[in-house]
Amino acid sequence: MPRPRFRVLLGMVGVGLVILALHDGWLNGPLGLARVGFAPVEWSITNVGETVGGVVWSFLRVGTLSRRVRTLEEELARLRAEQAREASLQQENAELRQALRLLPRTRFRHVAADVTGVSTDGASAVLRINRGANDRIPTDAAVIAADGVVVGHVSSVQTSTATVELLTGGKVRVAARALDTGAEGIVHGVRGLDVIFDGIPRTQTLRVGDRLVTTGLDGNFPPYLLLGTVVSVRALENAIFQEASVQLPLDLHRLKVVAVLLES
Amino acid sequence: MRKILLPLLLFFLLAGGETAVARWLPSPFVAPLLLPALLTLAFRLPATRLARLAFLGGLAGEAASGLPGGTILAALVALPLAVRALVRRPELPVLVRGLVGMIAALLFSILVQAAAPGPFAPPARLLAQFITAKLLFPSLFVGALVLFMGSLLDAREQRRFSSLGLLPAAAGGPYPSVK
Repeated sequence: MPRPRFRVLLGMVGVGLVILALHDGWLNGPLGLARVGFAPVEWSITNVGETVGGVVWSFLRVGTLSRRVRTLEEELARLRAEQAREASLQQENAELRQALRLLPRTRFRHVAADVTGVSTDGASAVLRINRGANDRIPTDAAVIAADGVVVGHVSSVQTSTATVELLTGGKVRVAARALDTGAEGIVHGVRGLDVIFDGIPRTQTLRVGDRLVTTGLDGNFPPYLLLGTVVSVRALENAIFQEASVQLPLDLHRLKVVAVLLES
Repeated sequence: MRKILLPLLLFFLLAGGETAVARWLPSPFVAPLLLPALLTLAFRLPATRLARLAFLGGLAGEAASGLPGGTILAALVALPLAVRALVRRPELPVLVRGLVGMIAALLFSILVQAAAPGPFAPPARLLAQFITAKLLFPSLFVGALVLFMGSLLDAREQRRFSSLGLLPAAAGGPYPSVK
């Protein structure tokens, strides 16, 4: 065998060993250390990329932006009204729980984190955040955005950074309930192509437009976090369960700030 | 030192661009930037230097993209080396190089998708979207970029880029032998 080819073969074998080592987690330690050094660079890159991308995107979509702004203004007004109603309900709820001597509904506190990186390979769906073991972030902690929208959970923690597995990727499964009809099932992603609400018995009613929230039964996410809205319902003939496609309220790949929920 | 730092800086910029593209493209679509850069160089560099650049590029991509497993790192090292081993003819027309880049990107996409958890193929109703967004679009994108970058390097006769340590000193002369 000629020498150059032998070297290439050796290189390929080396790469194979690296893949095996990565797969079995043997390199987690060195990778964690490397990420500590890369974190500031990574953050700068993301910020620059985001700024440039934002300018280009705005320029390309300038025609549709004004229409979008009008729609969002209407949506904002509606949400403000809804928020005011909810605030009064929350106050009433707190008073009632105090009167009945019930424990507070949630026992979590938030730790805000900046998103410093986003996966680019098309197979994984992860974010990197600038909080880690130094901030007492545990693995499997729930991550939310916009004060109550499920983003995913922490899949690995390094010294000053952590990796968040997104709901869209397929590794995160959340016990969910439709607020309007009470149907219960599991919400999970399919390779970033769709988010599905499935495992719902056909005896339960499910409608397009239903809002889905967490139930808290999976033990990872506290109850009443928003997951999304049902956009289509499918039920095969003779199938025991039905499933629905879910539209998320936020584009999880474009988040800049998230919050990690820690038990207090 | 310059031969390491400058390519690393360039690859960090590419990785940053990749992150920006990933954020602003419609959700299921991906458009790799590091891969076409490495594939373009794969037609020109000796295997040892290419391996070093591929590793640095992979590391930059891994750091900037937030990938947990580092599959992309390993794939980014393996793929240019494989292309380098199979195609060592810089005199090929750029269109052919673009086509080879596209095929290599398709293999890369399949490898990365296969490494993801769960069944390889999504449900039938999402299959068309999967093939378009996850396999065909990235492959065409990479093929087009390899073609473009190859043309650019040809047009500049490699002189300007050699100062970045990305190309051998003998650039423009006979094709360097594999060391």
